[in-house]
Amino acid sequence: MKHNEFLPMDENLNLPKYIEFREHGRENLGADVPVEVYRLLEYSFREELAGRFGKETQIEIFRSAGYRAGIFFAQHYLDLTLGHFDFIAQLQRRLEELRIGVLRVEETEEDTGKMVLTIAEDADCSGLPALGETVCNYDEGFLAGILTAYTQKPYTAVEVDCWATGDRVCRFRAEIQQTGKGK
Amino acid sequence: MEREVNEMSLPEQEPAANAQWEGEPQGAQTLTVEESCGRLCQYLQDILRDADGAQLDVDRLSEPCRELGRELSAFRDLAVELISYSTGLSKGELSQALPDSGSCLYSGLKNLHANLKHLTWQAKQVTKGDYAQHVAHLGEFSEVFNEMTRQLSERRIQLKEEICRAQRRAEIINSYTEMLVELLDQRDEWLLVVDQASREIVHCNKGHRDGEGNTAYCEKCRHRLPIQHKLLEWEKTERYQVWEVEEEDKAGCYRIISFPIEWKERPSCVHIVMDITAEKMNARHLSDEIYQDADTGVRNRQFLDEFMGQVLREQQDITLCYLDLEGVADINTSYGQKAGDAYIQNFVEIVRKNFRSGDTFARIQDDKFCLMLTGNVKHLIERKMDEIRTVFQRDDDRVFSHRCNFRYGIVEVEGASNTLSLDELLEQAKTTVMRQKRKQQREKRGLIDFDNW
Repeated sequence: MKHNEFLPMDENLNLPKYIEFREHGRENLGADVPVEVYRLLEYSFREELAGRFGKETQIEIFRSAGYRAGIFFAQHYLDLTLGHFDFIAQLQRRLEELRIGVLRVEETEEDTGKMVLTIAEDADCSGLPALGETVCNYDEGFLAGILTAYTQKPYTAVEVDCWATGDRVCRFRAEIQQTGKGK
Repeated sequence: MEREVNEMSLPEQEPAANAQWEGEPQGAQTLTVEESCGRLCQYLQDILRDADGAQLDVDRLSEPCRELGRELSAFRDLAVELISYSTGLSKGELSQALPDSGSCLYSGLKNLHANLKHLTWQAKQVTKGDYAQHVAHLGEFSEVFNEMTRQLSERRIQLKEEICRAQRRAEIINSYTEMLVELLDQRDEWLLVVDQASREIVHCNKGHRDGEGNTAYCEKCRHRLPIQHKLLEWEKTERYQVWEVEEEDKAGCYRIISFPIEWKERPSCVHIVMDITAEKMNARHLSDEIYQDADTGVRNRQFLDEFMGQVLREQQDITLCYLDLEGVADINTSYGQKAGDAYIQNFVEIVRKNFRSGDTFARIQDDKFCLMLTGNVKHLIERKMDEIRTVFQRDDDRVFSHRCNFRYGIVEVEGASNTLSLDELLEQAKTTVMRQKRKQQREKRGLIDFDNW
């Protein structure tokens, strides 16, 4: 990066610090951008990363980035002290308020922590044509990060149905990972 | 019937053409383009009418129509799967797998499937009391469901508040009840609750608090009422009755207030029993002189019997002092009975002056007296007796020309543990006096006092 003499160089600029600036400089246009712009960013990255590092690595990068975002989201946008079901209700509200998607729960196993969640009108994939594979790898990591931050147990989330596989909601199976990092 | 409706809604078939295809043997001649188009139209109608039964031999179609035939066959398979999937959903089979197809024909049903699964989970949560969940974007259903959970949540809060209020009330009532029971337990009156049907005592304020309601403990109870059987036999003739019962030997008299109540959801009667023996006795004393000693004016033996009967029954602590006045017979012989009477009267007056009017002093025989003080006060009586003796002997020679003296024996009675009768107690006190006499006689004769060995 080119050095700017008028700004102190912050070598440790990280996600929370970038997000701090989110409301600056958009007095007229506001905080929202169209979904297509979001997707333009997401899918251009997807294409670039897959082209450079291969599909598997691209998927892994998307999951990791989603996990990082999920942790941040849980810590900054959610009350982690709530009880299990109150937390889910809160998560539903927040995802809807921020127009990320309509979260719904299909199954929960209180003893094992397993869950089946769906996201309708998902910002990442709703309306995509059937591509024969799931594409919401970022969401996988995002949900895993949120659940990990809340439960303090390493969660994984795997997308089993997607608009891109011909479904009308994205369906995720979330469960506690027995060993290793939850993403 | 359904089939008839479908048939009516579709264009009329051409029976001749249909019959021709159905009846044709396998391996028959390839159809012309025109015939193939007719066959494909018929096939589409069959799919819409009964997809499961619709059949098409693509190889018999003319070459240009075969691709369309294959696509229609795939469409037929899709329709069959769609029918199966929608039928399953209509029966509530939510665990069935979602179809693999990405066809837009499934989109609504898949959405419906996902929503039903979510709503099933929501309903389960509601049954668990989780009203935090919210149904969104399902139109009127969302509004109704969310309103339902809101109301349930509100009612739960109201119920919790109601429970808290009820618990607080119950605690207050309990504390009052405990206080009431405590007060009742400490009352002198008996408070008995008798079950009307079984005639059993189900509660007694003097019974064991932890005992179940039965008469067994009454049999051993030291407060057992001698008139208990009369209470058990009481018939409710009026709403509220005040009545009196005397013991069979007339030793005690009780006033009873009886009225019906419901005790632990059973019809019962409450009997509040007051011992009015003393009251009756006092009433009699006021009007009757049979309890007074005519010569001295103090209580007589009959009074002592009745008084001590009550004291022992009520297991009161009391100190009994038996007094043996000496010299009466000698004075009577030497100076006449009048002098003897004066001697006794003088003794009585001195004793009376040294005790309270509430203490009981009775003449039980010619020169034998008994003094009874509430509580165990042996030392006090001993001190008083010394004072009495001093006064009594101060001018004995001048007045009676005789040595004035008396002996006494004290017995302390602990009401709770005492098993002796009045006669036995008096006998015990007398023994002390007799021992003193023997000791004095031996001392006079210079003999060894074996009683104190």
